[in-house]
Amino acid sequence: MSDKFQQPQFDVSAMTQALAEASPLQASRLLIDMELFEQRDSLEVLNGIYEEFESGQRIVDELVKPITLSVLDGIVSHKQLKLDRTGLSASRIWEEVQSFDYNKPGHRSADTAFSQKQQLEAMRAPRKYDEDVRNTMTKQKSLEANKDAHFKNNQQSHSSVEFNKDGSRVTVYRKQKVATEKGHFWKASDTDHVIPVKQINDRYANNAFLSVDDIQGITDSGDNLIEISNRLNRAKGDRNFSEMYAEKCQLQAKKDSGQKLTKPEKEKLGRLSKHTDKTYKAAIEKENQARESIEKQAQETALKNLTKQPGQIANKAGKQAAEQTGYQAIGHAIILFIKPLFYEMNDAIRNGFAQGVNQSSIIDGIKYRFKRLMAYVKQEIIPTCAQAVKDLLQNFFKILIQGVLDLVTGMFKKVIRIISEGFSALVGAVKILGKKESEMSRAQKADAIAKLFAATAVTFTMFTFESLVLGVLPETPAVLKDIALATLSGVASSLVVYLLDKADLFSVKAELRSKRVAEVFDLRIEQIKLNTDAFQAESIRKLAEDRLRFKAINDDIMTAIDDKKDVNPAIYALADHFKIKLDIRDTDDFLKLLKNTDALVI
Amino acid sequence: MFGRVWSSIKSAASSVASTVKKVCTKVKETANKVWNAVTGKDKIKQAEELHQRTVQRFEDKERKYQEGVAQRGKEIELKLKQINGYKQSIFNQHFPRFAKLGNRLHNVRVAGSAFEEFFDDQILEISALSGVRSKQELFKIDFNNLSFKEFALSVLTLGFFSRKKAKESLQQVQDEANRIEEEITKMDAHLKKIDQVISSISNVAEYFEKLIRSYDKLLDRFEYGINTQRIAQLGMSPELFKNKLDFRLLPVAHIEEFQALFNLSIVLKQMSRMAYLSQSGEIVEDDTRTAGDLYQMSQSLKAA
Repeated sequence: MSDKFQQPQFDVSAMTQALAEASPLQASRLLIDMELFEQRDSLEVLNGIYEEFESGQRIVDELVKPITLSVLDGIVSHKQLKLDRTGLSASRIWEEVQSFDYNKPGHRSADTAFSQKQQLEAMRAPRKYDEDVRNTMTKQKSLEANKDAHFKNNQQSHSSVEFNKDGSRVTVYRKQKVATEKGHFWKASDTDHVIPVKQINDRYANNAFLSVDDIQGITDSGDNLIEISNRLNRAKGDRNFSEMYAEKCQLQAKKDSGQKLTKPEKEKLGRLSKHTDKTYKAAIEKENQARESIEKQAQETALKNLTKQPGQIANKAGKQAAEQTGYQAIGHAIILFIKPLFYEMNDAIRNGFAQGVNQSSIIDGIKYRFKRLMAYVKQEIIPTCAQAVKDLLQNFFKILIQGVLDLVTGMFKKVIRIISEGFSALVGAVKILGKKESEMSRAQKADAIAKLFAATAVTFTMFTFESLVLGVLPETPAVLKDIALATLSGVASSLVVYLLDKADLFSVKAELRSKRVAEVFDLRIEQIKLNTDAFQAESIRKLAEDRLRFKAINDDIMTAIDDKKDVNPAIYALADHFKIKLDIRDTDDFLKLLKNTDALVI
Repeated sequence: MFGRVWSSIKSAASSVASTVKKVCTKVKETANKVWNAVTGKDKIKQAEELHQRTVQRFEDKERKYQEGVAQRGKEIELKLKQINGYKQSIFNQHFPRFAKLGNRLHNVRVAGSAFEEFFDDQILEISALSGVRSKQELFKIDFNNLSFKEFALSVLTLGFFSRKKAKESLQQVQDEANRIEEEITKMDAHLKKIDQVISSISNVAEYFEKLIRSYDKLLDRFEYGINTQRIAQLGMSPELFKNKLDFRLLPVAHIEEFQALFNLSIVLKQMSRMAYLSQSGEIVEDDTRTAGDLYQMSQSLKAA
């Protein structure tokens, strides 16, 4: 029983102490002030139980929690995700769902946060870049192939991006020797990576979905290779054209504003100014194209790998972070998404779909909640994911959210259809109802029927989802489909169970509530009886003890009087027993008192 | 012959009629039962019976409880009266006697008065007792006064609506019965508590009675001793009857008796000025000096 309905337990030791500290003369007042039961009205208790039973929290605890845990368990222990191996568990995610707060977006349990951080950081932290790494990322033959394609069989050709001051294109020479002979030493052609190799390394090298070959393919792809003069190439270094141009503009602006440039700055501006603005613009345009192309290639390759080569991904991810696979990274990102999703569901059930978010209708409430959820996913979850996972999930979530919206709104709109789908469930329900009372209680029957309806509705919604929503995403990997279906199954089941609970078709709620009322009051009554017994026993003991002690003292007084002995010791004992302070406890003091006062005042 | 045949036919017809009647009754009863079960009337009937039983049980218990409280209240009141009597006798008889005897040795004065405690029966009442709520509050449907909406809903839902309401009504009455059990348990517990209060107040009355007897006996002994000493000191001072005895010439035993009477008087005085159940009551007479003054005085003497 929750503490709020409990009758307080009578504290016998406190009673003993109170009586021991007080005079036996005050026992009556103490006893009358002792409370054997709380002063709260029993009606208030009963209403409290009713309120508790009506609260969404009970539905969450009794109905939604088991469903959600089951769904989460399915995701965590998915054979491909293997999230359970990272220490995640369904109950832990559930706890995090319970403590989820939009106002604390970074709020996650320490363990999980660490686990996620480990994985995501492993994917995001750039790989150390050196000559050896560079050699794995770019191959001479690729560069040669690009030169061949650019120059064909000629010794000279236009630079891919360079323009002269007159607007004509800059000619570059395939070989340094020819360029030198022609008096254009700085116009020998260099095959340049538009997006520098280092930048590609920093961005994609640790991506669990891309192999070494994939990254080399992206780095040396045709869109990323251009033929430029060696002058431009030296000036560029490991920067990209945008950075180069930005630096030129910055130095020029500094100079134009009258500020004095340092010597290295002057030299640098001189080098950068050897190239026309048209050259920079063309180069930057090329750079943008190359970046777009590289990202597209990376995404496509990652997706392809995800569906076709999970083993390789696992191997690579294993090297990056112990036991972390690409699937796990996705899994964790999905868990991040699931938390606010289930939070919304719980909150809606607990506080009302519309009331919980101050909306006028259930549909508006649901829309508001999903909008809030989507904003959270975009702002808080997607940015923490690696690019490939990010893109994959972004698309996936869009479809998932749309699916959820369609489903939940559809559920309210298409109740009749659900009922028709549930006809077979009705037949099953009749069979359950036909079972003997000894075999199945009425409540159990009602419960079984409710589950039957829930299962039917969920099957229906799942069917709708799989055929309508997931159907438009044929490339979605099976694992994502599994998770999406499991998640939706959880949401749909919870909603159906919630609606069934609200409808309370078989008055099971009242029956269960009565059971709870009986439990609470049985325990409260039992506690009052226990309290009374304890009080009675202690009171009888103490009163008897006091009485016996008094009798003994009084007997001493009478005996002393009869035997003509000093009565004072017995009087002191009496005063001590009654806890009455006597100031004169010595005959000498008494004599002094007689000597020094005119009158004895009692 | 014809008469016998007629009689047989009549008997057979009567038997058939009786059987048909029985079957009809049975069918009617069964149909009634089924109808009640479909509409939920059976549940309302159960709820009504339980409500009535609960009301009856609560009323019986409450009546007995009130009687129990009243009877115990009288007992306590009697004890308080007894105690008040003891308090009065202490101040009106025993303390004056002690002062009179004590004055032969030293001036003795009694400050303050007895506290007469009034019995306040409110202290014996449970503060929150909630009786059985009415049928209007507990029943969610009244088959005798069905509104059109209720009737329509019951018909349209094939009795689902009324059955649900009836079941909920029964559950509410069951809940109420459980709640009432707590109220009854509270009453029983309270009576037991009052019993202990009676025991304790009886103890106090007994303390008074016995201590007054002891005090009286000690006064007798003291009086005898004082009188003996007056006769003994008379030879030394013919004016003795006008003056006080010289306590320095008294045997220690008499000084000890005086001291014991003084201390026992303080105990009795405190007992007489105490309230035993509540603070309701009044000081019988006012006086300027209190026991606290005496304490201060004795402390200053000790220090000297």
